[in-house]
Amino acid sequence: MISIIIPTYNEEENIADTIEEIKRRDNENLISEIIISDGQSTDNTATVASNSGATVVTGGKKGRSAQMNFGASTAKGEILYFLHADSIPPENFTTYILNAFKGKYLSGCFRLSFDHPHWFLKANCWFTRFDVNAVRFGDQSLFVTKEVFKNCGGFDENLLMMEDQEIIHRIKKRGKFKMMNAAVTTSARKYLDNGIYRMQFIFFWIWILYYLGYSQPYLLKLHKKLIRKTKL
Amino acid sequence: MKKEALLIFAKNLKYGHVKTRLAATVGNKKALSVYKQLLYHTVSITQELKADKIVFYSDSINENDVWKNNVYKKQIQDGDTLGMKMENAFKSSFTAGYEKILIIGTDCFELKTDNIMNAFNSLNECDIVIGPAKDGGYYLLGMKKEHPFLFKNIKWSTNSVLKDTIDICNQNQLSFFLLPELSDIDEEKDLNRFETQLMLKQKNL
Repeated sequence: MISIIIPTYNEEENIADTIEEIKRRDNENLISEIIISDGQSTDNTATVASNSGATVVTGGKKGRSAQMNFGASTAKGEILYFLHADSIPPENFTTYILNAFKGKYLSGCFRLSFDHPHWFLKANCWFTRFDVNAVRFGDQSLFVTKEVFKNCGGFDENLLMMEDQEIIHRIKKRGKFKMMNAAVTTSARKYLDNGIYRMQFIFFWIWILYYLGYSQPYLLKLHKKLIRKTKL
Repeated sequence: MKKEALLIFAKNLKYGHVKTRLAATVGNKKALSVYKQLLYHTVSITQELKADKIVFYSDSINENDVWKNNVYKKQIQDGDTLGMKMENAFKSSFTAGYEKILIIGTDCFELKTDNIMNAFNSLNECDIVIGPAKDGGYYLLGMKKEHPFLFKNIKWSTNSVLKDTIDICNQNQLSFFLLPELSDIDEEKDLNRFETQLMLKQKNL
């Protein structure tokens, strides 16, 4: 029924726990498969994920958009749910998704929360409850019916970042979008490593440049220069 | 001739020559009887498949055994190492005109017909399909064209075979699909699980 799709690159340390948590939180057994779409990891991500019971696929291309599209192309479920490897969906998340689907919503996402209680991060999360693209992050995960995903052409593989935001515009043209009343928990690691205000400022700055039409390679270069971790 | 082929690598049933790692601790007699059960299992999960099925014997073709002549084509393995034997088997089968080819052994008691059908289907999207075994090897390998490098520089019968194969796919920009992880029956420690599974299977029949 629901195919979970997680793009990975060198996630051998966390991926088994993520898969375990996903299964545990699927109270009504609505998941038909957990697809790990690996971007040619050099570590043991593929074998560890396979060992945890996930379906592992690798397309010929690297990059989160290409990985998520390839994972979706192999998916058997009618509903696709895209999740980041360092994020954990809420309890009963598949029930939320199914209920939204039954309510004629063809796509949707959760609110965001961090695994760290810093007030500024909390404040950021508070804003994610609003269905405004400016306060939407890829970390919030995304469910969309396979049909809508196919018809809108999937993630834009020319985008090196912001692909999670860009697709929302196209998806929303094809059906109702549900802001679900529960939160995905994501790792605050990249914020803590880089300084919380600094990190949020970087995201905000990149977001503005993105909307001003700056090129993707430029944004990615800026992003890599400013953030002390290549993974996001 | 079908477009899909399933190659089955099988040992000739010879006392002292099958399941040698198992025989080392439980004796040749026991090892032979386990191997027979594994053969029956492999026949039972493959005989109904629509694909052409080709048994590759280790030593010589047996016209009168569990592999019925009207269901299975028969050939002999050719090469010095396991890698070369598999490479040659793929090569001759692609030359014969097959477009999707899978290879399996006879060691996996958990393997089911569905796994094999999924493997053929996954080749619609991917270049390579691999069935990861719990011991770090693989119980199935499939492809749509010859990739000889998948058989080079691999230490066969070690726990790095799967990882090496995945790395080679990545280095060569091949897309691949991993089937569910299953266990082979290779050593004495696998025997208890095997006997329980065998019991359960016979109960269901």
